[in-house]
Formats: sequence, C-alpha cells, structure tokens
Amino acid sequence: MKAIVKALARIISAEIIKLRGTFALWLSILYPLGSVMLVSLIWYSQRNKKNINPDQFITDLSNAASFFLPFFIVLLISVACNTEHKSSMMKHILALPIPRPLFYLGKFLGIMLFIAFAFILTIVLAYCVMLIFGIAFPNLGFRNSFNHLLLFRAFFRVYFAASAIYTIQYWLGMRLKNLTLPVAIGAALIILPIAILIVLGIAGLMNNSENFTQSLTYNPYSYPYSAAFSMMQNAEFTIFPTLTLIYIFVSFTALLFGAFDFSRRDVV
Amino acid sequence: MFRNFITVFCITYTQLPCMEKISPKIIETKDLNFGYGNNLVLKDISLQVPYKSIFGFLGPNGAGKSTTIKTLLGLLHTENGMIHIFGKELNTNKMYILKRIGAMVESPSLYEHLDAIRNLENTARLRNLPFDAIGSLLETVSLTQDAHWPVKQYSTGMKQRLSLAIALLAEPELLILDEPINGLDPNGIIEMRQLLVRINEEKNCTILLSSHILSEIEKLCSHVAIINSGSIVYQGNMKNLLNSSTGIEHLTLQTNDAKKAIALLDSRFNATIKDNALQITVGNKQEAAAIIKLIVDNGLDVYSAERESTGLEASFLHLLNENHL
Repeated sequence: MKAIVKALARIISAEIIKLRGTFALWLSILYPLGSVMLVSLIWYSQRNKKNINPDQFITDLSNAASFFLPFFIVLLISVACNTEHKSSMMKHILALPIPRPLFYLGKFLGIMLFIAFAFILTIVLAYCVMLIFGIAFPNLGFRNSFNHLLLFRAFFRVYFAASAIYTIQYWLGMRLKNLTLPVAIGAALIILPIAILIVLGIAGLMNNSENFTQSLTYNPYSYPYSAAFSMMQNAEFTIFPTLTLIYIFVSFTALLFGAFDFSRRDVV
Repeated sequence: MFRNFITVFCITYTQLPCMEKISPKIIETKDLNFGYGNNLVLKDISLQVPYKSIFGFLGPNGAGKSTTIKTLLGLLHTENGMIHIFGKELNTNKMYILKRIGAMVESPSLYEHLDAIRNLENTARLRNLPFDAIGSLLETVSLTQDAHWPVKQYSTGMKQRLSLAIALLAEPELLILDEPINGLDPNGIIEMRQLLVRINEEKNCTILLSSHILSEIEKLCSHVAIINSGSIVYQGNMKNLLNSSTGIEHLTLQTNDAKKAIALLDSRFNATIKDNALQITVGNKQEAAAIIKLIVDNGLDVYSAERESTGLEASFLHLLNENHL
C-alpha cells in the first residue's frame, strides 16, 4: 500500500511539473481571474447604490463561476490529456514499469490539483476584491457583515456539482488523440442542452423557469449551473444535494471504467 | 584420437540445430500473432534474441517491425503466442521485465515544451530513479550544452539522442529501439552507431533495433532477423547470413583494353563494360584471381581490381523475393 501511494505521489508530481509549462496553468489562472473580474466590474458599476446585501456578491460570483466552470474543466482536462498524445508520450509512458490503472489515477489526481488551485485562487481573489471594495466603497457593506461560510459552501457546492464532468471528460481526453474532438464533445454537452431549452422556451413549449432549471440537472455537464442557480433559493442549502451525490457516484464509476478501459487498450 | 574427438565434437556442436536452444536468449517469442480486425499483421513470429547481442530487426515498411516491438513492450495485447523476456513470461511479469528495459518506440517521445533535463527528470521520477545520472547521460549523448533549451528547438538528431538518453536512464539490460537512425544525417548516423556499440560493449546491454537502413544494420549488428509481410523470413548470425547468402560478388577491373579483355572472358563469365572498366560477376575470390591471371597472361595490363561483396542488401532482397515466391 505504501509503495502504491509513493508511486502515485511520483506520478502526480511528474504531472504537475509537466503541466506547469503548458496552457493548463494559464487556464487555471484565467478562469478564476475572469470570473472574479466579471463580477467585480458589475459591482463596481453599482458602487454608489445603497442597501446592497454583500452576500449577493457571493451569489453573483458562484453564478459566474458555475457558468464558466464546465468550459474550464473541459478545456483544462483536454489540454492536459493532449500533452501526452501530441508528443507520442503515451507509448513511452506505458512502456515504463508503471501499472496502467495507477498512471490513469495519478494523472487524474494531478489534473485535479490544478482544478483545486483554480478553486483556491477564486476564493483568494474574491477576498481581495471584497477587501478592496470594503475600503474603497464602504456603502457596499463588505466591512460590516460578510458571510464567510457562505462563500466556501457556495463554491464547494459548485465544484462538487461538476464531479461527473471531471472523470467523463478525462476519459474522453485519454481516449481521443485529437484535442479538438474531446473539446468539441465537451462543449456540445455543455451548450446543446441549454440551447435546446432556450429554443423550447422561445417556442412557448417551456414557460416555467423551474422546469428549465430542473431539465438541466439531468445533464452532468449543465448541472453546475442549476446547482448554483437553485442554491440561493434556500438559505440553508446543502453542499451535497441528492443529485450531486448521484453525480459523485457516477464520477467514481466513470473513473473506474476509464481506468479499466485504459488498462486493456492497445497503444497503436 | 582425442584431437579428432574434439574436432568432430566442435563441428557437430556448432552445426547442431539445438545449439540455438543452449545459447541463452534474452527475448524469445513463439508463434506470436497479432492483427487489427481480420487483418493479420504478425504471423507466427518466433524471435530469439541472444544475450549481449546487437540484434537488427529488418524489414520493409509495413512489414510488422514496430508492431512486433510494441507487443514485446506490452503496448499491444496478443491473444496467441508466447513472449518470454529475461526468461519470464511477459503478461504475468510485466513490471519485472519493463524495469529492466529501456525503449524508444517509433518517433522520439518527448515533451517538447520542456528542456532535456526536465524530460529526463520526468522519466526518472516515474521510474523512481535518482537524478544523479542525468548529467553523465547528457554527456554520453552530447547534449550537455543544449540541456536547458526546450526540446521543440532541437533537431531530429538531438531528439533521437535525448530519447536514447531517456531509454538509458534506468541502466537497462535490454534496449529496444525502433528506427533509432531515422531522420539522422550521415554524421548523426555515425555518432549513433558508435554510441550503441559503446553501450553494448561497456554496459553489456543487449540491443534490439529495428531499421530499414541495411548498410547500418550490416555495420552495427551481430545478429539479424528479417521480417516480411508479418513473417520472419530469416534470423541468425549476421556473418552467417552474409556468408551463406547468394555468394555473388562484383569484380571491377581497369585494363588497358577492356574490349579485348571481355573477348578473352568469352561467355564463361557475366561481364560488361561500364565507364571503360570491366565489370564481372564472380562466385568467389578464387574465380576473381583466375580472371585476373587470364587477362595478364594474355598480355593485357590490369591497373586496378576491386572486389565488392553484394552484402546484406543482396541477401535481404534475395530473402524477400524467395519469400514472395
């Protein structure tokens, strides 16, 4: 067991060093920066308004983050997997004395560290903005009462809601050699359900916004939006709603299936 | 009596077919088959690579060289046949075997955005090896000066050398190289050849390398296997292949009267005049000597005589043609 953990740690550290020089690192910085800046600009434009609830900042931020999160995950994972494909490294790595499932898992965990980095960076940047706004625009109320716990709970909820995307997209990325294909499939899975629902709404076939949000929950790639949009309706929202737990289970299943598929696949 | 016994024993022993079984084999495959769907790419491949040899794996493009190498490394799964490396079955001892192998499969596999040191460190980390050897390896492959440049700025030769350094990182007992001299300039080919010979001699490392550059295989390898359309058509000692092949050699003679000389040879030899020189196909060196003597005895001057063995190329083509028939 100790040897497996050590081997896993080596694979993860190799993955981090390798990805540091790729677009993956920039993505992990750009995504939090973009989300926080977007919301900050909106709040900056409302700086003179009075009686604003600072908790709304968290809602806005988690909405923005949840909108960009699936795109960020699809791009990050596809780029990370393509690092091996484009340099023909898969043949080299699989000819090394490393059990294939262990490599599959190690690489996944390495990528997940980049996602965790993006998560932490979003929170750090959010605090920085709130600090600056608190000093510069006292009427926004950031200096008086701010719900720190809400910020963490909201972000944990959004990131866990995306559980199934991590492993499904990872499997796609490892399976398909071309970068375009996993990105296109991922993007289609994010956009198409929303586009269809919007068309249904325009056509008058779906008038109820609750139905709209509910429909999105059945697609793992759109679920983070609905998880974020629906959480503020209930102040006592949970980080792990039933559907998130189901998607976490789906995620584990997809990871196991991916590892199994990777183990028996021929490297042509 | 004793001397006779030894002579008989030696002759018998060296000619015994079972001699191959006595000599240890680092790689041994039997009836290896592999295909993509219904298309069988490898047909009953039985390969035997002796320890400490430089084993050339020859064949035209698409013959199955890379596929064989991939099956030896466990990159392709075979349902039929047997693969033993270091005397152990591959599928059940994969980690044990791969720990002792350094490999370079097809094009150089390198992270182009990283420099040479980072590429070596990456493999060292994955193989759980210390980084100490990296400096000396870079020196071995003459990349110390360029070690800090991103690999994307390297020439093909430099990439090949770095790939070789990565393959050598674990001080392997067996080095499997797929087309290591592909894309190298003449200078690079010579450097690679010298490097491989040195590794083989100094580190007692067995080398299996595939190529379709016959001249290099002839210069480098002690043993050879020729594969065509997925089947092994020859394997064994390189010297034996060269000696036992067609036996045909070309003799080029510069004389003071080529036309008179060709008339002298009559129809006994296959001779032509090219660039004022006489080109004759001979079976052996005695025949070459007899031709020169005949010309000189008839009052003609011979300015130069060059005997050129048709070598591996002729043997290769001969075996491929024979296989097609």
